[in-house]
Amino acid sequence: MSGAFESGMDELERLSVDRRGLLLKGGLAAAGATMIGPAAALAGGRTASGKTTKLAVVTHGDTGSFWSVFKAGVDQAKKDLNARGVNVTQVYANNDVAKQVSGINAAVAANVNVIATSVPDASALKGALTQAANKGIAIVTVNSGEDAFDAVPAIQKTFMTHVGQDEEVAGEGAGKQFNAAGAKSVVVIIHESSNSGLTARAAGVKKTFKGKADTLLIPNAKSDIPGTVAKVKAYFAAHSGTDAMLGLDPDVTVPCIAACPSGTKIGTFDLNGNVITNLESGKMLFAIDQQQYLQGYLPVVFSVLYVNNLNTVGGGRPILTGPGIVNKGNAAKVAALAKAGTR
Amino acid sequence: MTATSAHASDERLLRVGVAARLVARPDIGALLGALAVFGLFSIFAHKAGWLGWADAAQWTDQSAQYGIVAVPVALLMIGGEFDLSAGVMVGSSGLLLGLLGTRAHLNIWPSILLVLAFGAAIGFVNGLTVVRTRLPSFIITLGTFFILQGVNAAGTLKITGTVAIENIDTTPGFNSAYRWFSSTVWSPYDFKVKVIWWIGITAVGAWLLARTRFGNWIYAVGGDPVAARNVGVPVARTKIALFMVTSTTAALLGVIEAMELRSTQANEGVGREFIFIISAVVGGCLLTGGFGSVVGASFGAAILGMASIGIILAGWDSNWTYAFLGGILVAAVLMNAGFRARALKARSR
Repeated sequence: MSGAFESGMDELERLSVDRRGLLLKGGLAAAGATMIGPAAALAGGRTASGKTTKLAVVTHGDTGSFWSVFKAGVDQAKKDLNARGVNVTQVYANNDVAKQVSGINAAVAANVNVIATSVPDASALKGALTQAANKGIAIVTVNSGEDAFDAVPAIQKTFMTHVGQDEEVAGEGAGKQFNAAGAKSVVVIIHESSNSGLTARAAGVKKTFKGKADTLLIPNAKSDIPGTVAKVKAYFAAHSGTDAMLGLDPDVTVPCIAACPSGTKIGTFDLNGNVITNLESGKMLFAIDQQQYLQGYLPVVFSVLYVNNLNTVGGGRPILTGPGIVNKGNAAKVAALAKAGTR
Repeated sequence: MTATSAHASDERLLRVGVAARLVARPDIGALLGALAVFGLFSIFAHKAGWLGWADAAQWTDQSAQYGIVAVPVALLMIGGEFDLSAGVMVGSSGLLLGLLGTRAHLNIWPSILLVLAFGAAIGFVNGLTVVRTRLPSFIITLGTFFILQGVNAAGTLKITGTVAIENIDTTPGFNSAYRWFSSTVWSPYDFKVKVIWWIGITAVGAWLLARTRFGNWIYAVGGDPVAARNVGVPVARTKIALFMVTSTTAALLGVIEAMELRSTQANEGVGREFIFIISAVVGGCLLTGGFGSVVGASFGAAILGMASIGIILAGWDSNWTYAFLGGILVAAVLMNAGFRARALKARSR
């Protein structure tokens, strides 16, 4: 019910983007977006050893726990490569497509060499990215946007690579983990309807898992967690042979541990504090980590190599940052890294 | 209602048969619907133990998630108003409880009182705005809904750095309150205590509506506010009180959920306002106000809860859940309209 409502709101948002997008064509500054590092800094910083690399990182991300790790990766790479001469601006548009478009337009106006951007909605970013490509700015897609290469043909001439997690490959990784644990029958909890990323994860599991893989769709699961737990319990009541569960979001997986019969092998996508606690205590088997730190760090490295040496990586294929596996063996170490803000 | 001269007596004194009186009840459709849905799954989910207590513990859990707030929402609808902020209020109050306990380190009991007071305050603002501006409550509470949703997401992120508040069980005195709000009874089936809350709230709501002066006022302000005012019913006060009861009950559900999960995330409750309203409508409440039933709303919640759990137990593709719920809604409304037409005919004969 709220799903239909929300998609209606998305439509509204998209319409207003088109209108505002026109206004922003002139290269208006990223009004209201979280802009880190002054745009003016793009000018200086050249060193004797090579050209200064001017990189703009523009994502749909927010300042929450996930993206703060991504940002830590960008910041560290900037520090590490400082001697090579690198200027990086970062815009986190907080899921506001209009802000992301204006961030890309601002980068184009500032004549950067490379734009690293997430593409959650190719049709909304098409105009801004085409403009960037026409100006000869190299484009790296990060986090989401593996299909942007096909969706926005104009960017193909300057497209470098995609740095992110392939959802299906990550699902395959989860399937292998269950194989190794000797699971016979797994249920994948899909917590949103019509989210292609989630169904791709489930498809990946089906591909590699040797036993029976089933999915349980719970529409809008995250807005009724007690109801979700009751539904998972009902699933186990109706499917007594199921001995493994995979959740695709820690906010769903962790409460559902209580719904599983004891001895169920439980895995999840993504990490948080509760996941690490449960991995250490053995209540959960593994977590799939997409290592977003790499998604921030690597584009900076690739940009410096490209600007100075015209190197490209990936050979036309995406650079996968996941699935990184966290389990009982490395949970304590990862917990320390998570505390430091890099995992 | 055309009382012809052939009827010398007042039509209100007309003797109506038991069957006619039964179908005149607003909740008869929901009762039959609940029996039909239960019967349906006792066939298709028989193998998964639908008739056993363990399954009943699951669907009553889900139904209580809907029913606790569907009761005050039904009262509010009979009083002629909507509250679209009732769903998100569940999340807001859970987050507030978490903040008070884990950040301000307040004891759980005063925390609960503060959260309920917060609910009452939001309800008061909703009610006062509706009464003062005479704008549709649909719009006013939609505004409250969006404001609270934004505050939930942005505020939680600002304070905790994530979109959830965890470890609510570290709140001082947590266990003493957990027993009353969120534990389970009757091992090994483990029915949720909130099911008892649901039944209790339904009983109180039904008593309020049928046996008290306030109940009469609710019918009056929903049926015809002008006429109600003319006969001395405090229309504004009644409506504001209804909004406050709705928000406070939603806050109570937020408290129950937050303690049950020991954490709350910012999305909780969003979208459930429609489920509350659907429960009330399935239960025989009219969108125009002045007519409806609290017991019916609880039957409505039971139907929706049984359906969403039963679909999984029956092994059906849960992609169909919403289509199924929509079908139930339409069927219930048609049935209620049919019964109502017959009931009116029975009285005006």
